[in-house]
Amino acid sequence: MAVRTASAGALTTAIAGAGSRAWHRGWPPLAIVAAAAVVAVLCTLPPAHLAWRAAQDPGTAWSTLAASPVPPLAARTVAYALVTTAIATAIALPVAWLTTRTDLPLRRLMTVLAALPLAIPSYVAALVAVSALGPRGLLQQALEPWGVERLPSIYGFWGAAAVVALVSYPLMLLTLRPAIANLDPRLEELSRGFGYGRWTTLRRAVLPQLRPALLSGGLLVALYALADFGAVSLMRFDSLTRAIFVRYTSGFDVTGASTLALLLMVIALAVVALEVSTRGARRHHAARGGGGAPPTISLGRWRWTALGGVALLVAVALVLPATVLGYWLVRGLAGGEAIAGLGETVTDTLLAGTLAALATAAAAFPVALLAARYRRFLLTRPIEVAAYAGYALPGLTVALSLAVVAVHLGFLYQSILVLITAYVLLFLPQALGATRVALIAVRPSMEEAARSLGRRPWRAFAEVTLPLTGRGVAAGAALVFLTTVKELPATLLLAPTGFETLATRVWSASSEAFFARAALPALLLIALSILPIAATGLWRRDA
Amino acid sequence: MEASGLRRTFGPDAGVLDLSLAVRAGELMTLLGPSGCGKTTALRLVAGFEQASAGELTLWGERVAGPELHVPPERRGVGMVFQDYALFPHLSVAHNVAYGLAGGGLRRRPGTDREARVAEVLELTGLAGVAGRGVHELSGGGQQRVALARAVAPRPRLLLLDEPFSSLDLALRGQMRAELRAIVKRAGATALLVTHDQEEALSIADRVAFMWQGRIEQVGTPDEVYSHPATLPAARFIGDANIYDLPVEHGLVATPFGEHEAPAGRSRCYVVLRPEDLQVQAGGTPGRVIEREYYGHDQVLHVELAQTAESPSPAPGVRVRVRLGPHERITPTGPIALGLRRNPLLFWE
Repeated sequence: MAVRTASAGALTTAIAGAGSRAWHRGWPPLAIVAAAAVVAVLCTLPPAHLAWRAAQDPGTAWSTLAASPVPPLAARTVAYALVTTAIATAIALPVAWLTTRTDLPLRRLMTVLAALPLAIPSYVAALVAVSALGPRGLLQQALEPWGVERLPSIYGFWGAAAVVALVSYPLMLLTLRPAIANLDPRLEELSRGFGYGRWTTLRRAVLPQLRPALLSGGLLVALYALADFGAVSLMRFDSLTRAIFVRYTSGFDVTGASTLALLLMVIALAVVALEVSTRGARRHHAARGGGGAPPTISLGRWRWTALGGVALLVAVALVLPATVLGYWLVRGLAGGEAIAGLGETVTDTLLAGTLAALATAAAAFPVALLAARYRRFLLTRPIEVAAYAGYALPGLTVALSLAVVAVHLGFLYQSILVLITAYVLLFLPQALGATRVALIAVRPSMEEAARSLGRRPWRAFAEVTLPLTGRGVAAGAALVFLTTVKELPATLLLAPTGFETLATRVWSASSEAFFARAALPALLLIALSILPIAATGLWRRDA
Repeated sequence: MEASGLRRTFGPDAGVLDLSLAVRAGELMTLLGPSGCGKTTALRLVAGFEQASAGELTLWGERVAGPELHVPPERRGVGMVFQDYALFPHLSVAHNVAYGLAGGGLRRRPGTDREARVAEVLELTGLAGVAGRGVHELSGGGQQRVALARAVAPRPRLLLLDEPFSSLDLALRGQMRAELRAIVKRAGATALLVTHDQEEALSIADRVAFMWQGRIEQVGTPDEVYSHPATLPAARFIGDANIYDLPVEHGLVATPFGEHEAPAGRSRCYVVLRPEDLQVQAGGTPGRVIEREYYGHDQVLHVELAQTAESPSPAPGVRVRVRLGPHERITPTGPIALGLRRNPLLFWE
């Protein structure tokens, strides 16, 4: 008995000790706080500047907002985001269920393939849609011998929603799958036990459990749709992002564009606020009372029909884009347009990506350090929240506000510095996540050990913490690199004249209908984007 | 090491740590106390990871903490073995051990070859065969040895060990205890080991310091603190005890096993009886065995004192735990008569 008490005591001490000593008790070093504060201010400055401008001249701002095109524009944008989310959910929910709970043939392969469209930038998907199904597109050309001269238009509201849903549904899918896998099977058994049928059980026992995941995934998709610029523009749908861009670049209406950017930001922040509040509720739901893994449901004779459905989705969302781009690439190679000038574009892209990755990793480090080690420090939480602004803010809003600031300051205008700053702002959360996780793994006791062995604080940090966090920081930087390479609206708005990345090349080629010229960079972008999806472990983790 | 009135306050509601303790050169002292009594904070104050708000700390005569003085950990020459070992996962075993020697630490002696010292310490800790391995390849016991080797390699003035056995499983603990003591002794280190496990504290130490609510209550050899605990918490925490709160009348306290002289001027006092200080004794206080736990090396009886036909019980209904040798034949639920081997301990508040 004495022995048992002693071990239980040891265990609780070990747990309590590990908990309390994971965080420093004292104040963080001033240099860290200063660096993190600079990053936080930088992150909040552009949107704050937008708000400040609007507040300076509330009359103009208000008349812009009240002017006849704006209220319907805002309503249209919200409606488009809602419809996109609905389509994405309609696609993702059955696929998530089939790939987690049933004996779907080729389940593993289908899981991976169904998630891959996330790697296709929205403007590439739009390019594919336009070049294949648009006027004088591949389909129409193929049908011409039969006298088909016009196809139903794919442009506008529904086209944009469909294209964006087809690249963003994996966000919903990836949120739903773990939630479905963790469903408590006892509730279903209970419901069936009470004599309810399959559908009633689904509606009354299963869907309510999935509500938090559905909301969370839905809000991710909605945010994606709201922030998207490339696809809506190519699909010629007048959403807020397109209106902002047109006003700023063609109309030189800075005030109008800023006001609309502010409006977009408010809508996006409202979505995020909703997401945050459901995430709080989700913790509540996450308590899982055992009951084992849910049983695999046998689809019986519907197996192959289900596989056909998933395969059709993969065909439309993945195989079709790849085939269409491949076709344009071959045509481009034959016509000699495919590679022209691509060397410079690749150089510019690598430069932008590398600078963004380095700058973002550097900016993330002090913030991650505060977040990982000084949770009780007064400023940690506000700095962290500010640093996550890029997660909520649409790229176009950030880019526009930085452009306004740069014009205001004069010397920064058309400087690559502004572009890199925009990337840092937008992608800081990605680097932050990886860096924070790496820093948490280095226990403060390791640095203390180095100090008790004769090292000054900074040397302990350099010899112990830095080498141990290197991989995490590098992973975060790599993720930023890949996202930067794909980024469109901020690059379009802020890149110095003549500076062209793969993304802007795809954009300009496709908006001028030079599809053959866009094919190779688009394929390169897809290939690059598959890398981080592979790195998230989707390939390994599956039942 | 000598600490006098070394204090650290934790806000208005939390406790105060007030450390006054002297560790003699070459001894292994354990700092024993229940979880949350301030042991670890005391250790961190000595190591220099926390700053004292008052008091003074000297190491081998040199003041390292005091009014307006806080020598940082890297200049204290104090070695530390952490509860989680805090080994450097990016370095091999040998490099972990060499780390404290690399930068020309505090006590680096001219002419002492670094390689030779590493080899010597690895030999001492039985790690010579795994010098090139990564620390993750080692078992829990192996990692603990590396932590120990790393801490003793620079010949620290004082070696601090924070619950060094808590991450080991029970079977390994006993073995590592003896081994750790042997290594510390052979390294000639002066050591202060923090633990909440009384068995560990008693078996490994030259002297034990008992800490309770942020204060050192008693310092003494293991048998002193066990046989003559200075305070009631010490008696209660170190070892097993039957504790009775009894009235004092005419300078005497009446226990179920006889009257004992009580301190003057008190109306009540605590009587502490170690289970092993009781024995089966014909004609002793009668009772009934209600439960028997048989451990092999000994056995513990739960006895309820009761009236019997032969003699009335002075304290019917009172329960007492008795520890007996394994060979005493006891009938469970049968009658028993108990007497004392030695006088009870008395405490008052």
